[in-house]
Amino acid sequence: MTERVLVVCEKPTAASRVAQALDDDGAPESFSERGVPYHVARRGKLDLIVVSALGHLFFVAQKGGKWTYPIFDYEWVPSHVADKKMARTRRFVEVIGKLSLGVGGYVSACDYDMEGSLIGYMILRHVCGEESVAKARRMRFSTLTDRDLNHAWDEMSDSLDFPLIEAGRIRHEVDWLFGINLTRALTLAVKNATGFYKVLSVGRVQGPTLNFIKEREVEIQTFVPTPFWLIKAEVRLGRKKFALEHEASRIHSDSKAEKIVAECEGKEGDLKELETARTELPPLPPFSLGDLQREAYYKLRYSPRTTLRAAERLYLGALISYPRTSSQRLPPSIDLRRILEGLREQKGYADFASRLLGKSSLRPWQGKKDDPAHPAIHPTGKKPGRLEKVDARVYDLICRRFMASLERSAVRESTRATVDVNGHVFHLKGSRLVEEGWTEVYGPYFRDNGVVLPALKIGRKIPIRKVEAPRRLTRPPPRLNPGSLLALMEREGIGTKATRSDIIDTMFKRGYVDGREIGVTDLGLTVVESLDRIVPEILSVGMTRKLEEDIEGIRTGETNADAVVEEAIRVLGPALSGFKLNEESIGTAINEALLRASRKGVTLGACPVCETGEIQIITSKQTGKRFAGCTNYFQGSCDASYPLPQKGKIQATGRKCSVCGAPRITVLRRRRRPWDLCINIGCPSKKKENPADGQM
Amino acid sequence: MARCSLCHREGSEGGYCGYHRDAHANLVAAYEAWRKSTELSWNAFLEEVIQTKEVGGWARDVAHDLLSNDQWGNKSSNNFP
Ligand SMILES: [Zn+2]
Repeated sequence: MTERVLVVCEKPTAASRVAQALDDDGAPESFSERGVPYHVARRGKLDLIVVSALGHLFFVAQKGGKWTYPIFDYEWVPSHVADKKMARTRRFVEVIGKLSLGVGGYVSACDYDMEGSLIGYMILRHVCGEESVAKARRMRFSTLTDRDLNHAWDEMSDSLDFPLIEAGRIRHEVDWLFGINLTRALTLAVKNATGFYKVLSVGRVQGPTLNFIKEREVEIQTFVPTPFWLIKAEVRLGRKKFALEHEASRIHSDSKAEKIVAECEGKEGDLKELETARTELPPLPPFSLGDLQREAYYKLRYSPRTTLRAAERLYLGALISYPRTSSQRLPPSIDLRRILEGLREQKGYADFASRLLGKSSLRPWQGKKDDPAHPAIHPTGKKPGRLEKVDARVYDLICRRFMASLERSAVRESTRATVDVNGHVFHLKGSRLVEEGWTEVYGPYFRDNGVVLPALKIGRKIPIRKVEAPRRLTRPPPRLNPGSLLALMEREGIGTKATRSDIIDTMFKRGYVDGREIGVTDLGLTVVESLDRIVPEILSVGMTRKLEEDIEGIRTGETNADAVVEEAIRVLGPALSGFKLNEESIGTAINEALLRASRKGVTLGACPVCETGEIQIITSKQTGKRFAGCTNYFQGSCDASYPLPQKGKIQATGRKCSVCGAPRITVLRRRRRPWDLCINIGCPSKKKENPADGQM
Repeated sequence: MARCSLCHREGSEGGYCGYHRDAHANLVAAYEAWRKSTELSWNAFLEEVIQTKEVGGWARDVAHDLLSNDQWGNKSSNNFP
């Protein structure tokens, strides 16, 4: 009689791949019960019942009690019980339960990482019973190709990976404790102080991340620029113009800059020195998830989340290896030649792959970071069918990066000519790639900005055609963008490769941050200020990083899991008491920020005519044009109205005109100075302000 | 607790909240650099800085505030601290 084995996968697509790979004929039978797909694969004397979860089927939830805080009692329950939106998962739990009856063996074939191990464990533990956990074995794989899955089956471990499961369980429990308590504390502060109900969530990792953005915003908003001058000279060599740079990159005084210009104008330069140097540009290592997300943001303008979703689809299609990896390395166990043979059959890669296959040995350029579970992201060599545009571009990026990591270094030749102009030293710089190396295959994602100089000789006289000293201003630090924020989180060791992009996304959804260049909103700022005042440790990178280290310690067996939860409760307890005591002031401050946010972009200031209404931006339904009018107009008590510039973004300044008392606004227009003006067109101050500058 | 005269945030000392105080300190520090390189007066510096796109919003608020106080004679004509 054949023995039946239950194989648990994380997602339906993965389950169908696993079933197909493990079936002796590559043709398992597929079924659907109440919308839940499953497969029966025959392997030797075994019947494999391959079932799938829908990600997590079990969540942490409050154990009884009310919607209040602090809450430290919790339990694991089916996700459809914890969250009504997860109703669909109920059928999965029931169907898996039914299929597991009378089964002789259990295998977890969920994604091989902390989350996957936990998903598999929870299903076995809560659906199939305690004894299934003791019997279960674990498949470990980095790609969903037939080859790797069969190998994973043959090399299966005798038990589940308990330390990894424990680490995952504790991460969920600690994150839940922080998330539920801080969210309720903030939400109830506003509700109890003002009666207004709006869910304000904060998580353990979100706090420090939001704090980074806030600190950068404070630097930007308080920034005052200082001036400096550049000395730019222009020369002609042959038919082309080239720029000479003064040896001092910045001149800090107006008069000094003018003096240099006067002394160099119309003079002849004398080429005194010529230096050339060759530098090697080693290939870039293959992608970790963070590297891939950053590169896709900078080169393709995809958000980290978009890139992760695309990479997951490519993985489920067996086109690339498991994307949630920190590794920048390809271990010797990966058959590079087989992958290249696959890429050789794919459009656009044939020449590059053939050339690499012609090499006697293939050695990938390895990065520093490693991952205990998975290698760097690489293609499997399987030929893709038709891909969505996003997936196709992410796939191309991964394939080219993989091949680039196997290529030779590129070589750049840099030239620096030193030119003396009436006693002032200038440099003429050029560079070019003399050996393309890896940059050829990585071409679409590599830009060489070098200036190619003509042949030069010492002693050459070069007439200076133009010298000028443009004034420049120092700039504030740049805002963080999704790419640089991800890098910062990675550098600071907060969040995990799998969760960082979702954390960034959540801050946008909550209205704490906005913009492609991420700025903190008034609401975000107030939330950070409130937390900083009462529970500063929530914002500290130190505490978050310590927890990440503890969780890693659980995985390696160095840290006791229960102690980590106790520590979290020890930090949260007093912090939450502090919150309760200050509910009134926190709630009022946040509510004010919410009100300001709802009026933001509309309200310009107090009405100078009736003095009780507010002047708001109104768009005319008839003409589509915008103007400013008093809110009391609708009650019929005030008809103050003002025309507004139709172009540019209008910002309230919070200031009144010192001459007529009407609100002053700032108009931001592309490539033009911000225009600060009083909205009253008849204001005497207008004489100075040049209204012709913008179209009213 | 007193509120900031510019943004109504709580916790102000001497009329400004912490952010606007920082912005004010940055204006004073930057003026040193401006004066060395351009010989501008304090008020001319404020006028100039308001016009730049690099200046931060809170620093611009403070510069406007200092200029308007000056215009209304609330402070001495050279209100450089
Ligand atoms: Zn303020």
